[in-house]
Amino acid sequence: MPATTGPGMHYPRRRSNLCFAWLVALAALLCRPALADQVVDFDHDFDFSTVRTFTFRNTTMDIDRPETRNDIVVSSTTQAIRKALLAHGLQEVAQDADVHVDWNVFGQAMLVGPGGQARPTGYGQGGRWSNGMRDGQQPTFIESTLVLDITASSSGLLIFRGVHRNRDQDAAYTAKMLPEYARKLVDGYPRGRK
Amino acid sequence: MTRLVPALLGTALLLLGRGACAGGEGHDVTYDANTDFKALRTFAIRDGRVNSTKPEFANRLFRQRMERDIRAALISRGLKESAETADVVVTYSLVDTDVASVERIPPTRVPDTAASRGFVIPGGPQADLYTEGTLVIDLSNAAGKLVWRGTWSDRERSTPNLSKELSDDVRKLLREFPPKRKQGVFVN
Repeated sequence: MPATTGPGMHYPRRRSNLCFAWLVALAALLCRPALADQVVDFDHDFDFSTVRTFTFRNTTMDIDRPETRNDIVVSSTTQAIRKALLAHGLQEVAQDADVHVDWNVFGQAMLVGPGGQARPTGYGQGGRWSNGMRDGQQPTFIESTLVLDITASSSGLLIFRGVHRNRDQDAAYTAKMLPEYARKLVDGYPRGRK
Repeated sequence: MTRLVPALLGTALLLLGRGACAGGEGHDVTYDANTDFKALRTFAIRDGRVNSTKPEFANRLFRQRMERDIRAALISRGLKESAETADVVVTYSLVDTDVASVERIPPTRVPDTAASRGFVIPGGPQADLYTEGTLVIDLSNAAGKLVWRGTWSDRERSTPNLSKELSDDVRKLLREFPPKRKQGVFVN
């Protein structure tokens, strides 16, 4: 770009500033700690290619909030797991299934005080993230944990466990995202692994 | 567009400042200097102890993964697994604890540019929640005497991430086995 006089002379500097800003922003995003994360463990001695059928056993919602503890959220989470397992080639049966599927969600609400101290709190306290917070007050958030277990019915042994943790702004968001969290966990199912 | 620059920079600096990793790890290895580690050729892994109520750790699949990682690490160090009498008996334990601390974030000043004035993003205290896990791997000789102990502490904001990191931690820790002998003394 030629060096010009007048307004044009600022272009190279502006462009480099902008590039630098984008780079720093990108680096910042990449360096941000992952607050949503999951881990999947499975039995490496188990022949997963023998698993053809599944049935749901226990589905437990332990976040005691109206947004989460209701049949709609429970059934949509179950449905997401069912759909993902069917996509893995398994079939749902009412009885004599090869594996039992259990899932459980529990959580802890945390209130961050003006001094920055986080403390566990009941779900009724604090509030949602809003602009109306007092100066220095940070939002209450919910640390939710979804545990998906698959147990071999023949041996009774746990053969697959997926755990997804997330810090959500409120219970409504957790409820909305649970099916997606569940689906991601089933993605780690070692289909056909001998 | 140029007005975006300071805003972007400010946001980025804020994210960088506030996203500073809680992650930190440290390790320690101690061993019996009178043991001839070169004579130790076979190992057996005994049940590990996991003192945690977290679903990531409190299950047999996690213990199975830990054993697999220890086995692979020791085999890569030239040892062989023996189901019967082994020169080294390996045990491990894991404890975890949740920590809540407060991070003091200083104010971030976004400088003036040719097109716009700078501004200050106020800092302040911020909650920092993380889980710290401590993994201990013990190697005892056939007589049951502890000859090598490796301790690895890792802290992560995400417990699933900590669980995944522990596999690497096992490998890194056992890279220091056997200790190297130099001028009559063992060094790490």
